[in-house]
Amino acid sequence: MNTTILHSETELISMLKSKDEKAFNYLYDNYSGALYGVILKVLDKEELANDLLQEVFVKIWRSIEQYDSSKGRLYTWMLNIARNSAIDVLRSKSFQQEQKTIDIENSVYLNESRRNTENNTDTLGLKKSVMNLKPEFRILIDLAYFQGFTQEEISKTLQIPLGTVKTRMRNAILELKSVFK
Amino acid sequence: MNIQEYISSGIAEAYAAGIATSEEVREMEQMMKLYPEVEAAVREAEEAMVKYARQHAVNPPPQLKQTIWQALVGETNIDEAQPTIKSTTHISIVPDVAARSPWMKYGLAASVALLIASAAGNVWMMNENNKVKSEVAAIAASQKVLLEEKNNALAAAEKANQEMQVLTLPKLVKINLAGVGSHADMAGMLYWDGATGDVYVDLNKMPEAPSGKQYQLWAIVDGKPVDAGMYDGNAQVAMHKMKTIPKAEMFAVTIENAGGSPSPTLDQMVVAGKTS
Repeated sequence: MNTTILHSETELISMLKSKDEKAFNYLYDNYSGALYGVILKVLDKEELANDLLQEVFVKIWRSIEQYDSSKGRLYTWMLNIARNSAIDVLRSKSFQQEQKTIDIENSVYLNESRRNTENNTDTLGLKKSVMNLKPEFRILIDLAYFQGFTQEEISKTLQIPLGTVKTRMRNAILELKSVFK
Repeated sequence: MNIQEYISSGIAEAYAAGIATSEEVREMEQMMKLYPEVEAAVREAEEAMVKYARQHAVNPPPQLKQTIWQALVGETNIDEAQPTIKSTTHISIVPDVAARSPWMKYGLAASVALLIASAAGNVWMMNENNKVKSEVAAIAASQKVLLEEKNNALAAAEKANQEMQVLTLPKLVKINLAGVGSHADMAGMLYWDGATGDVYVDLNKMPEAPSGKQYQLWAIVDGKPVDAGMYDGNAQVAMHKMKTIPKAEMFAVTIENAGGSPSPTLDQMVVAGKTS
């Protein structure tokens, strides 16, 4: 998939600002898979994910001028746009009404397993790494990263003191980080 | 603040993952400007995120690329209009957790709520189950205690009953054991069954025998002391069955070394009573 010359992020940013097709091709070829992966993980619905991927590219296209490299990498900036947009959809009224009829079992923890057949590279890593976490960490990562809960919301929902949520969240992230290494 | 502690708290990872609170984000942006090592930690965490995202990349359907490019071209030409954006009301560039809070008003996604309810339910059930288990254990324990108490009470009643039976024996002889010499204030009772020779004493009103000593009962038979048994000092029992003495002129109690003596220490006689 990586057929174009590898550009540095700085080069890519100035390319994107020119808004030509070459820039788009490079962006799409190198980043669409990662962005689509994040979206699918949150939404778990291919049709919705297709629409949303388009929306995410529009956002990136439109907001590239606002990107501030001092705050973080372009890559994580784009990942966050994808994740936040997906969570916005996840939390929209229409999506939630649709979800009501879906078996609860399928929606949260088993997101990954449902795509097993279509996508072999996807599941093993995350499932393994997240499943390796302690259950109290797992639910935090799931709620925070894939469901977009704030720590306050997690505290309310799980009825755990906010301080405990913060501590556990950081331990969970540190543990996850060591799994990825 | 200790920078190393700040870095190792996991804040850099939360920031890179976009799950830090808006307050933490602002703080982190300051810290990154001030401390190169904080910035380095964020870069490292970002690298992990990127690695993660690459590992879990999924190729979108092939036709999507062209569709998206068409949308972008339209976007560029029409400039500020948003013909292709279906449901976007705001653009999330930086993860802004606060902006998402109104969703709470609409409730959790039914699935999430149900899952959590079910998880919470499981926890609750588990807690309830444990509670019930410990309650059952507590009840079993108290039942055991109650059963023991009941058995003790039954045994005591049985004993009292036997004692009562003694008192109703037709040939029972009641003998007052009166204090002897300097022990005039002491007194006991002796019940002697004239039919069988069974002897019972009640010395519960007497002071406890000195440590290492025991009361010993003697029968005086034909002018000679005969050992009639040791008094065990159990105040729970009113009538202490002693040795069987078919014939005696007198009964006496002495203080002896624990375990008893073959013959009475006469100057230690405390109470005594004649049989007729």
